[in-house]
Amino acid sequence: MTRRTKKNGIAISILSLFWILLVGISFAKDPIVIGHVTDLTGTSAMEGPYFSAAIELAVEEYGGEIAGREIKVIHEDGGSNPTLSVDKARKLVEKDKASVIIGPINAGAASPISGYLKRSGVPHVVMELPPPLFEKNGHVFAHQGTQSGSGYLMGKYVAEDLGYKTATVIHDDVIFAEEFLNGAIKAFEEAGGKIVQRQRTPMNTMDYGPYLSGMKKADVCLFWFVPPHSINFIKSYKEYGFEMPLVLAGLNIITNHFFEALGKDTLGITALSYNDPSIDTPEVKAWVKKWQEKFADKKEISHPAMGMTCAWYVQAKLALEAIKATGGDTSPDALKKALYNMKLDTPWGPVSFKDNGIGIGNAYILQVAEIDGKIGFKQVKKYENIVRTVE
Amino acid sequence: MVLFFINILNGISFGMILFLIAIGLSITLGVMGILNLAHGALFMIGGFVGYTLVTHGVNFWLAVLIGGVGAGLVGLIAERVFLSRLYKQFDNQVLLTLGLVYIIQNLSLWIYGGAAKSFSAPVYLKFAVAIGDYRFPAYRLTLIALGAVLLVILWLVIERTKLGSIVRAGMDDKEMAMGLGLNYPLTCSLVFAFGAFVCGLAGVLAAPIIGVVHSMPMEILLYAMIVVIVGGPGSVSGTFLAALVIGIVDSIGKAYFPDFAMFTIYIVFIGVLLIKPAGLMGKKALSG
Repeated sequence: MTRRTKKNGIAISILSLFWILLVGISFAKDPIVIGHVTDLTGTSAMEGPYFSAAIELAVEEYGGEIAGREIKVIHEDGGSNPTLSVDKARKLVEKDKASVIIGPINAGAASPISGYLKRSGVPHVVMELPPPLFEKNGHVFAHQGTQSGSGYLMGKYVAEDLGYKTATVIHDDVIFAEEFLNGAIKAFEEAGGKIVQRQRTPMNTMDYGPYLSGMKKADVCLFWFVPPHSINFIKSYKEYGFEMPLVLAGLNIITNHFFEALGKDTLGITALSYNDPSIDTPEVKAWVKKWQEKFADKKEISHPAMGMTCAWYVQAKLALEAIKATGGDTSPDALKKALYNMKLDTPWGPVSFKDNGIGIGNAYILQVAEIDGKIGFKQVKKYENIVRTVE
Repeated sequence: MVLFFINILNGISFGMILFLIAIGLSITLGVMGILNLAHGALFMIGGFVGYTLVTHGVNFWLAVLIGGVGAGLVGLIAERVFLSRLYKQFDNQVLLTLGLVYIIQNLSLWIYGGAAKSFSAPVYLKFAVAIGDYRFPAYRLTLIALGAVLLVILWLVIERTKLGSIVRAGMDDKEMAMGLGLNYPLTCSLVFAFGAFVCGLAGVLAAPIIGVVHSMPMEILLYAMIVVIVGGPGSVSGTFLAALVIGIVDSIGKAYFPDFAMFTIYIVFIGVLLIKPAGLMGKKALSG
């Protein structure tokens, strides 16, 4: 064999090997991409790291793959800004080829994202949304249903179980707070209660003094603010010497951070949650222990202090179980069908969906109390398998 | 009538906080011609320093002072290292100070997390004073008194001290002041640091009412800018008057015109700009 022949042979072998590899790679399975729009900056930033971690915990339960396809979660920071959040969702769908979008928590951003995803057909797994966004066999799957549903349940509890007859209402002037309190007021009035006053505070409010000065006395104060405003409001409420019981008439946003910031000023506040780390069952305790073991080295999230952390875990599980049910088929129609047929067991009870994407599951009324010398939540009532909206 | 009086008190107490925030910005803008958009970040630095100290058992009033010093030091460094090189370069000052805001905000997010922090006023001020059928927090009354004391001190410094006369001379004619041998650059640095110190003080004093969170610098800056422009840059009395007007208008607006609560202070802002562009007590209008 001449030297030239030998060289040609080596070149042909290398080229053939390269071609085989290329063909092999093109037949390898694409990863399953889950898009997560979250808030790592802006007014909703405090929850962002928890939500990403909750999804990570869920993915780990599948060993990082389903049906031979790697699970790839891409987190994008929406900055608590609706315009930016929609841009990020668009990038996740059109560039990253996400099969499902989770989040964000901010309903002001989640709503327009849903609008965009309706055109693209990609399923949107989210916590809560306003009623107009739900339609029969639609693409939206909100396991906590509608904001008005949370409020309605709390309004009903306040009127029927606590026996209050009059209420003063105060909340952020923003879409989700409006919906929470609309639901609460509806239930309260249906039960014979009377709303003596309703105050809406602009989102740029720093000082709640003027609103508190003019607050009318009633049996109870129904309120809801985003977390930073809630802390300011509760503190000022106590400083002005009010003694009316405080009821958070919507999604529970009271967490360990509140207890640290406000201490005993939080005692007695009543809240509603669909999934919370403080709920006293063996399943929830085991889940909290699993969380703490996984994130022991990340001090800032080592306890799932945010009640909504659990909601993000549930959202991730819903998306992953749907993909598992389709055998790895991530086409929009297959995923939607799987989600509509879903009955997921979670540490907080089973979760399923109505035919319009509104969640069905348990609900818990919690009250802040001193337990064994520490401030935390105690469970005062449980509702089972309720449709999480106003019907 | 009593409720109206309570709302006036609310407005005055909020106005005192606005005065403390805005006075530093007013003087640096009026004296040095520097537009420091990082002023809100200095307020936040004071608040976080105060939070760290109070939650570790340090006396509240000591924390107020140290919070001010912390903000003052950051302000001094910013002025000496960056802003002193950008004299009369408004566009570059805006870009630089905006960049500083983002850096400080993200540092705060990294160190303290995204949750709003809060701490209480001293326990001996945690009660409400009865006024008719209503109650008004004692701490807010203390803020009103403190604001008045600081106004007197600042006015005395500006009007009755050599340092104040140098500052006033520089505001009128900087080149002439330097030509007369006054060490104007040193004076500017001290003034800038002092403005940052007062802003940091405000951050700690306000924290028991409005808390402290990484996203607050731009919200605070907006209020500060409105007060400075309504009062007139460089005027201590103008800033004080504007802060009271804005605070009271904001309070009355929220109490009696809640649907327009977001806009009431901007109505005052626009009105003053149309009628007296230099501000209530200002000498000349800002130009680009």
